[in-house]
Amino acid sequence: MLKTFKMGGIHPPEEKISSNKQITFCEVPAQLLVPVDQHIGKPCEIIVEKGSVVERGQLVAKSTGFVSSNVHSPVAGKVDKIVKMPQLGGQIKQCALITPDAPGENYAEVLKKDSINNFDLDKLSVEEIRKTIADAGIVGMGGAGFPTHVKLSPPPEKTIDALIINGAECEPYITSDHRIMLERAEEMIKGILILQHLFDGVPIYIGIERNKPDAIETLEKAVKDHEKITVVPLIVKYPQGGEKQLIKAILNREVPSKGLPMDVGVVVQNVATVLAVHDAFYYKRPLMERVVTISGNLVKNPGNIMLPIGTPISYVMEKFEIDPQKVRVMISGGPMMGRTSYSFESPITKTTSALLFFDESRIIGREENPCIRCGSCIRACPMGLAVAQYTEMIKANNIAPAVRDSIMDCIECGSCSYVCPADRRLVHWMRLGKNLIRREN
Amino acid sequence: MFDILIPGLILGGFALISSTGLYIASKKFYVYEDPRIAEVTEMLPGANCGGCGFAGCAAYAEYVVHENSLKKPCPVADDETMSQIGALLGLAADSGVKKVASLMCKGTSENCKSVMEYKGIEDCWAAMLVADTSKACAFSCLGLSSCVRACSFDAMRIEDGIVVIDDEKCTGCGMCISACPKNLLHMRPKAKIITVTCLNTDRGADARKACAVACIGCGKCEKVCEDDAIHVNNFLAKIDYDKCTLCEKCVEACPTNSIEIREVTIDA
Repeated sequence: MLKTFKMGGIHPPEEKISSNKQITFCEVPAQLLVPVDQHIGKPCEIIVEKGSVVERGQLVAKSTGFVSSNVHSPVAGKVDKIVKMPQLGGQIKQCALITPDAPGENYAEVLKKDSINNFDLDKLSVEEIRKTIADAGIVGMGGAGFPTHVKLSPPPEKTIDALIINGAECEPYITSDHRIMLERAEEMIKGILILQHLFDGVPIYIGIERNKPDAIETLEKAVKDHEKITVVPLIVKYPQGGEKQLIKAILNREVPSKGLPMDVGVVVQNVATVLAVHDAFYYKRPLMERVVTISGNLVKNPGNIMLPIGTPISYVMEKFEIDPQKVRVMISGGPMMGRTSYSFESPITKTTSALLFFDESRIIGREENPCIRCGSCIRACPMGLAVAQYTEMIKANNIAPAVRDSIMDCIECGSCSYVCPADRRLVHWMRLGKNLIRREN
Repeated sequence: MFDILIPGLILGGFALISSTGLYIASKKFYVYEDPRIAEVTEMLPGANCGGCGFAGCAAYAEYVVHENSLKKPCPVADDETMSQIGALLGLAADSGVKKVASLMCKGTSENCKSVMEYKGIEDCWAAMLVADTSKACAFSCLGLSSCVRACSFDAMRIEDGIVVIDDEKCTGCGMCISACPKNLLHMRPKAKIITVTCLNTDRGADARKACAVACIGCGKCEKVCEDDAIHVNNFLAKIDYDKCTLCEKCVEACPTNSIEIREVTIDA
């Protein structure tokens, strides 16, 4: 029987129009804007300055603590200056403006130049693995950007007895993980084995929604020789890619309120993250590029492209022949959880899984109307929250102490806003509520 | 005849028992409260704004009477009220310097252009969750009324994309200060002052590009100031109100008009 999570969830149109497009490679753009902070946690410290010469893979910003992550330069070049730039998430952050030595070079060639590293996995200690991952600046590439080495270092009192690889990719439009699973399955499995080594050979489940039958087939073939790795096909339902939902779907375990997956003995890693782990070990390549889906109704030839971190969006728009005049909404990530952005000069970061461009026709633009108490949002919420009630409290700036923890449990998936017949900005209100609670504490 | 008397007697009996109970309870559990607390509460403005740091006017009155001191004056009440309270308690009223809130930004929709179309919830904090700014300048007032809602005295309104404060109505309670996610609201003495109306710490060229009236940190004001009251730090000028003698030389020197004379029509 196919699995899924029980509570709430929706099924928006899938729109995976780029799923049959192979991952292509770009040319090295004329300028790269490498953002200093691309993760959740302590901000890093920039260590290059105006005029510094950087090599490919050289550190640009250094992590400043345990929950922090390094940033490397994807190209050899010169740092022109340090500028403040609006990011895809909307924040204004420092970026290192790097002019590459060889602009126009095909990025596939750049990748080929990286030397292959031979090592014996059995001889690697747990600390060495964690250190390599931390040094490589790997963060969760599904969108949140939480440093991976932190997730892989649970406190000793928490025993991990299962590892889940997240290939659900439940958001509409995005196909980057799908293409990775199809084209780089072997490398993915090697990356998974490294993670398995970390947790003493725990069983591994790769969760894939069944709207990607080719990916399920490819991976099932790839894991034939590995007893402990299982591919789990899942019923298509949003937000199955959420950690807590995926754990519920695959293992039927419920992460407690305010808890983390490690509280139920599970670590979840995204497909792209696993690939980055593979690259960090087999090529000694820190996280410097990622697969990005370019899609939306303004893109004539939607596709999946490998882009170095720091590629300006204007470069992508030129390559995909998108007319900036027509763009009314630009979203980084999926349409459900992604962030709209306003600057075409913003760079690609480690967490940009997709870039979507839409024109006027996709803007609904209806005003927010009063709640009609239909309860649709409550039925749709995968966390079982009484969204309609909470938003009223948040609106009145009077949050009852009893529901504070519930509001903090919101995963901001947007299912409530999607189903609301009154066009209420429910997820925005919930985010404001979380912000309010954090401010009061 | 008796039919009507019986319920009357029963209810009357209940009333007698209950009233006796209430009487005993009111005597036995009597708590003495200084009658002056109620009187002081009556005199206070009664907006429960919280500007004094207490939960409301009643809590403030209780503090004043118990501590028997007026060292922490109500920031809202005028001098007359405070001296009346002082007379009641037999204390000398320490009126303190009256302050009003002032916005450190002149980024009207004309001076500082919008870079996006924000269609979310009308609240500055909510807008900050989407992007650090919706205007060209990252330090500018978003004009989405968070402070206006925090004001209990109807002293603020949005005009031209920024907040305008009515000095007459502003009581200096300070509740708007923490409502601003950009920290653009500051308290200033309720008197004529000269102030820098900008908080932009970007380099001059960037600041100028973002807003027509931004402080670009050129330092001209620092040079003309004879009282050592103005200093440029981190591309931003700051005036020390204690040292400023209101000579207005900096106002003339400022190339971007980011130094302003702010006058108050005091009713006093």
